[in-house]
Amino acid sequence: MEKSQCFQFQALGTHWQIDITNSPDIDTADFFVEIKNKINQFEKTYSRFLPDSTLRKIAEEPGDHLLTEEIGHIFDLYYNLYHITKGVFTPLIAQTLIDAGYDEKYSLQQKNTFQKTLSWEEAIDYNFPNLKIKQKTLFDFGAAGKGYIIDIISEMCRKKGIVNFCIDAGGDIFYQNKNLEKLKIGLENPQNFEEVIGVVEIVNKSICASSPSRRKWGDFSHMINPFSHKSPQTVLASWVVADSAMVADALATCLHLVDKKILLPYFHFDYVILYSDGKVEVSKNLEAEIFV
Amino acid sequence: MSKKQTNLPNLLILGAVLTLAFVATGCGLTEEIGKETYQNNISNNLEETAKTEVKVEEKLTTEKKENTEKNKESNYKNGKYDVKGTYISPAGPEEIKVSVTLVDGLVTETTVVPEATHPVSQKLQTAFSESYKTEVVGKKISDIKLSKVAGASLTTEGFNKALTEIKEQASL
Repeated sequence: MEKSQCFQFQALGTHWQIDITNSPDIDTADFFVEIKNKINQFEKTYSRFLPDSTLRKIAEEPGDHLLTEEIGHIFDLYYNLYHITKGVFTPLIAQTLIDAGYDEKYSLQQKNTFQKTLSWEEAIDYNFPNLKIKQKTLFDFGAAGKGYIIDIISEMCRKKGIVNFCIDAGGDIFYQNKNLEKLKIGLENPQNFEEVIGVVEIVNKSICASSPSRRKWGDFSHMINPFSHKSPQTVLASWVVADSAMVADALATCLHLVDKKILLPYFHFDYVILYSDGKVEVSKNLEAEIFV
Repeated sequence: MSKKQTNLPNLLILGAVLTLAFVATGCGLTEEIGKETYQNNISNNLEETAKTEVKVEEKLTTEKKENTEKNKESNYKNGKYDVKGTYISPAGPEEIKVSVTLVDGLVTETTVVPEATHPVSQKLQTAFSESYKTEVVGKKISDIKLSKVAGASLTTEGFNKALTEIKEQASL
């Protein structure tokens, strides 16, 4: 008889569910508190919505700053993806999101004019552990932040000796099972949330989804191209399967902004991409059933 | 890029560099639009970054000597190493920068920052996708046995409220 425990809560702007099966002899209540605290701490480090978050204070202060290892890890990913996508995927999209209306107050109204989205070189100089802020700016880690905290919590589970668990943060998932039992995951239809357009089975992987479906206002969604200042329209939804949730999360967003060909040489990942004309692309090695 | 050690990486990492270097030359990127700008941006950034330039051929010989002495101790510290390798591809000299993570002597993660100066073949890209020509349809979640649904993150009450207000304003 499998003993399963479930922890549900709100955090980082979405609904979380953590399932632990057959956990070793640990105080799960204590552990869940530990997880919640870690998420709070994470938010206080990275969130652009909190005026005193670590990264917000750093970004507002020109000069040299020393980054922690934890921050360096996600900053490295943003550095790589910035260059791989030739600047289309950028943490400096923060100001542009605010100009489009996605600010602290969720005003969701476009400001009168869009400021130019700063290039990496204009705003910062990064050489871990040093981050030099060249001019006052703002960072958005929304594209990969959730994935990163999922990875961090996964690691916390492993360190406790928990080998069967599932972390679901609003549809971004990491699932681990020692016996390699697969998890059947539906791919939500972005045009009808009561439906799925297909099913994927994974084990010991992360799957992250990206779609403008829930965060759309006027002409914009939470994904904006820094050069055109427009939200991409061709991709309705993307799903990425990868070993790490941080990578899956980031790449799922990238697939709205650039073609998968650009990413394939640099990361190991599988994908499902749903286009606005109804067509779907599935990477060759992914076990997926698409409903046609 | 993160740098925790100033020691030169060991054979393992160089092996990874070489492997990744060979993979990179075979990888699929046909896009040449804006390549020059992209290359300039990369090299400008890297010039400002402190880096360890490693000539792969030289490294192999020196490391082999060091390794026979250090054979008993595999005490390469866990951490992230940056290696910039120069290698000769059939198309000419190429540079590659690799970031490698070592955990207990095993390479657990690698990322490659592209620096290739030659266009790469498109063989890989065409091997990857399987397209569905017909249009997809949705199936009701209640009709299928699913453990989970992956979709765009559910939004908070606060955000939903803001969305509703905007929609109401728009319809006035």
